[in-house]
Amino acid sequence: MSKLLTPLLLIMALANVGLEPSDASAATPGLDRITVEITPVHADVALGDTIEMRVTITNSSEVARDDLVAHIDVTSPDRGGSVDPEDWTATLSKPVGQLAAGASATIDWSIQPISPGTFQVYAVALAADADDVAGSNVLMVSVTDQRSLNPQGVLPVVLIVPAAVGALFFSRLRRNRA
Amino acid sequence: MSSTAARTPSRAGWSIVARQELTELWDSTRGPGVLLGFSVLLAALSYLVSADAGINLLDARESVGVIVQTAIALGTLTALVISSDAISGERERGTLESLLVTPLHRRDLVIGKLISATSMWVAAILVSLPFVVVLARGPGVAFDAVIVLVVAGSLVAAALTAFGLAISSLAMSNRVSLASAISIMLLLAAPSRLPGVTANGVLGSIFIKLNPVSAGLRLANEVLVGQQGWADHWSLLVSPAVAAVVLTAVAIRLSGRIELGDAR
Repeated sequence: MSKLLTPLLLIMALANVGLEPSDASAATPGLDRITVEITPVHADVALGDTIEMRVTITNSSEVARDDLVAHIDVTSPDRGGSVDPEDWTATLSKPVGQLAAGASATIDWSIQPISPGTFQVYAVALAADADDVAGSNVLMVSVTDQRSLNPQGVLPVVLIVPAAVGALFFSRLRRNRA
Repeated sequence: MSSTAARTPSRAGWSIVARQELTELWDSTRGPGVLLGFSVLLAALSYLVSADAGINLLDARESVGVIVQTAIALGTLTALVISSDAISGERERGTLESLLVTPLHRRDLVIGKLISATSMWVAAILVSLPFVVVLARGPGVAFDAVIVLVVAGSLVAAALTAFGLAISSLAMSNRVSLASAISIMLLLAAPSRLPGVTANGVLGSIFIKLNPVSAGLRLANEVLVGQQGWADHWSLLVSPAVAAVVLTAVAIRLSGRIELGDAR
């Protein structure tokens, strides 16, 4: 019996046919079957507003993945592409988590533009040992300038506190002169 | 029996001095003038950081940290300016002699002046609180910000106020007293501005913890900006607390060495 099994097992091993179901660690394929999508595709906001966007990552391959990382970036072709995305969000990369074959995962992101203009936000999915990335569509962001005279509601305090202390100072000044 | 003990001791001598000094400080334009400068600076800075935080140029927590640290540093400076003028100022104005001939212990004189100078810090807290609370509402750290300001700030202020008074007791000139006290305060505050790698290294970390001013400012930064709990950084309060106790004792101890001098 063992004489029959040994060649059989050898053939199966050479043919990479496992007795267990295939898993992600067995071999890491490229990311050509991973798709990334950002919604919404357009956002018109004022400076200081926050944009809530959703990145959907779909695994169309036959193998489960647990090593994907979603990463976003911001660029502005109008300005030659020089935008620091860390000014827009503190978290540029997020782990996708377990993604079964054929499944999708969604990641929510809050981004906040810091200057007026037109920008393009895109996301990519990366894996540590993959030599390519899966890119998304572009979220077009149009930011209009907006300046508030009362940022964070601080203006009343900024005016009232020095005025009150100033009133105390000038009352002492007047009294001492008298 | 020492010469000071031979005088008629008054148990409430320090309170008489404190009352007199408080009246002189706050009924004149000196206290309100210094406080006005403090409030204008803090108001301008609050407006700038809140405008930046509103468009995310400066993280909202960071803006609270900046305001609390500035309130501690400038508030302490105001108290330091008053305390470092306390004895040397009297000496320079020629009024120290009349104080020394009163039946008051010199210790009472120093304690009374210390209380008066500390009132400057209390006023600075009262002025700072509206700014801190309004800015800290957004990121939801109002409670932590107020506690850092009151606890860490008060310990740092108590230490430096006593330090200023000790220098004022020894310095023959008011100019020397003020310049020395302010210079040393700036030197003590400087390590809190060290870059992260240096400040977080073993030596940098120990140095910052041992230095009461940088320890207090670092605590504000860790709790308010770094979003770290009090439990992780309570040790940063040790050196300000020890410095407050030791320097107050030193200032009182030095009261016996107050000399008339010839500052004029």
